[in-house]
Amino acid sequence: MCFAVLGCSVQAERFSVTVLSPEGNPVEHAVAALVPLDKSLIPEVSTSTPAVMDQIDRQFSPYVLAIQAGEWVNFPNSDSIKHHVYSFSEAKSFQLRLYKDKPPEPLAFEKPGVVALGCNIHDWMIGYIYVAESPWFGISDTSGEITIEAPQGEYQLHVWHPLMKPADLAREQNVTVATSSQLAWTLQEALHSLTHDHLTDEFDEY
Amino acid sequence: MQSWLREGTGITRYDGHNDGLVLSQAMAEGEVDFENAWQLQATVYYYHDGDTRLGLTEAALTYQPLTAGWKHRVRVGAFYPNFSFENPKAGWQSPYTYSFSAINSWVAEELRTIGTEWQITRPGRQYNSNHTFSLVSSVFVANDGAGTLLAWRGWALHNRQTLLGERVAFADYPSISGPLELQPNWVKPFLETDDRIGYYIGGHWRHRRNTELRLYRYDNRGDPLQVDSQGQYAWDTKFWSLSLKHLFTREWRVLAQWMDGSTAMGDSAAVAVDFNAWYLLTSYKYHKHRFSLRYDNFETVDTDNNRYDVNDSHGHAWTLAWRYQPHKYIEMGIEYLYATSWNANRTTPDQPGADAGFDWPQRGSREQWQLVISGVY
Repeated sequence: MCFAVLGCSVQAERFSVTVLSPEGNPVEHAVAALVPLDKSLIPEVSTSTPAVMDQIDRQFSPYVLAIQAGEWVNFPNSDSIKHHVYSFSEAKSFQLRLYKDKPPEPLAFEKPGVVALGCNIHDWMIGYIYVAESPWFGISDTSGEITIEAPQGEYQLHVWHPLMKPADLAREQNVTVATSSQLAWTLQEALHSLTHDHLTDEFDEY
Repeated sequence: MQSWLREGTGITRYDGHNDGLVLSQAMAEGEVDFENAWQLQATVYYYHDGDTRLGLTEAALTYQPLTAGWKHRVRVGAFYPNFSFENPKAGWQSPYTYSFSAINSWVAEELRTIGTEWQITRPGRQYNSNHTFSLVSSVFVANDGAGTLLAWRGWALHNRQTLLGERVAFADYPSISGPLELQPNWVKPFLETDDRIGYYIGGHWRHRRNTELRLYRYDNRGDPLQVDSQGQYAWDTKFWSLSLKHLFTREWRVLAQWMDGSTAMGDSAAVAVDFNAWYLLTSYKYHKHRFSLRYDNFETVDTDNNRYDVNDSHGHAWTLAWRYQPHKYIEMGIEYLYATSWNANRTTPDQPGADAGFDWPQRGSREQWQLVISGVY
């Protein structure tokens, strides 16, 4: 249904993907993104509020952040110690020294791709910003499920996870978004066995 | 027994002279980040006791460039090596007990890297691995006095860090006024006596964030024959140190460390001692409260043939601490320390051949209670 006064033009459909390991277990922190085959259909970034990649207990929070290309990201520091956040990724290369109570200006992420974040002081800190081409993306929860509201049409579906192996990284699939559709995305290879745990030590090097 | 700081043979910082309220320490740490990868850090302490009241414990430049894979960290100046996990707080303080373990009490008083250290790390997470490895290597000078206190006084438990350039007193043992007359009853641990460069090399292994091991080999390569005009010998001190930290949960952890080494000074090793110590510490954090319990065991074994200077000693200690931080600027706590030690070189007038002037029982125990209030800024 569409009301002209609200200015909406296309009806959004619900598109769900469940990301599963080869054994059929749900995969958390996976990103699914839909890119329309006709890229002229991609709207401009509509939000002016920057997204947030925080540092809490010497970890990036969230572990994986997804934004649309053109969005801004704030890097606050909720720890009482300093961080030195950097990225060497092609999509965005930068470094920021983060002091307590001195938030820097937000950064723009213009180029689609994956931005891997590290901290030069705390080598175990690792986080990701998935810069999507379109506004139609989501991140899986513990059930492995991602729900995207997207207009009807033909899309290419990308599924990404920080610990994916090459065979899965190369996969993409054309999908049609029509009425509510559900898709199971089973990884071909197990994720790298790195454990993403939140056990942190408040007395690690500061 | 009177503290070694007041020329006694006791192994705790406080003795009967200090009962009551004292300003234990005041510390300020300064840090400057330069635009490039360099950082300057310095720590100043004030103490009410010891030879010098105010001074630096550390002053160093750190170079930590941004790299995509392996990480490098270079330190130049005067600083503590990272042998253990007990002292991670600013100013090399411990968040667990107020009195450090025997091992780290000795590190605090007689060890400092005055030189350079290079650490290379392969951060596991960058390589999709749960294992992170570091290799640490250092060359240093001006640590020729290290070993002196262990040889005569033996191990101790305290938090009195020696200031750079400071001298540390100990008891005037009979052998010092006798056969070893060049040696005064104090040491300047951070002195270059033999113009020889020392080194240490270490490896760190970390599994995820829970478990970490550090193994080090230290050797100051002292030339035991060298002595300066003030009677400060170059002690040939070398040891192994192995440390462990394991987090069971976010609240509950264990720390352990073991050290084993030897020291010697003088012609044909006039004074030679093997030393070893270990501790096991467990700590539990409950909201703003931290409870820590540590057991220390320590020993020195005299290995020279000088029968006028017998320095065997052994002992153990229990330390129990409760620390509570009700506010970000205030911490309070209570520590109970029980230490017992036996030192062969403590003599009493009734011992055969003993000098009548000394009255030090070989076996001594001490209970020390501390109520500590700290301001944190």
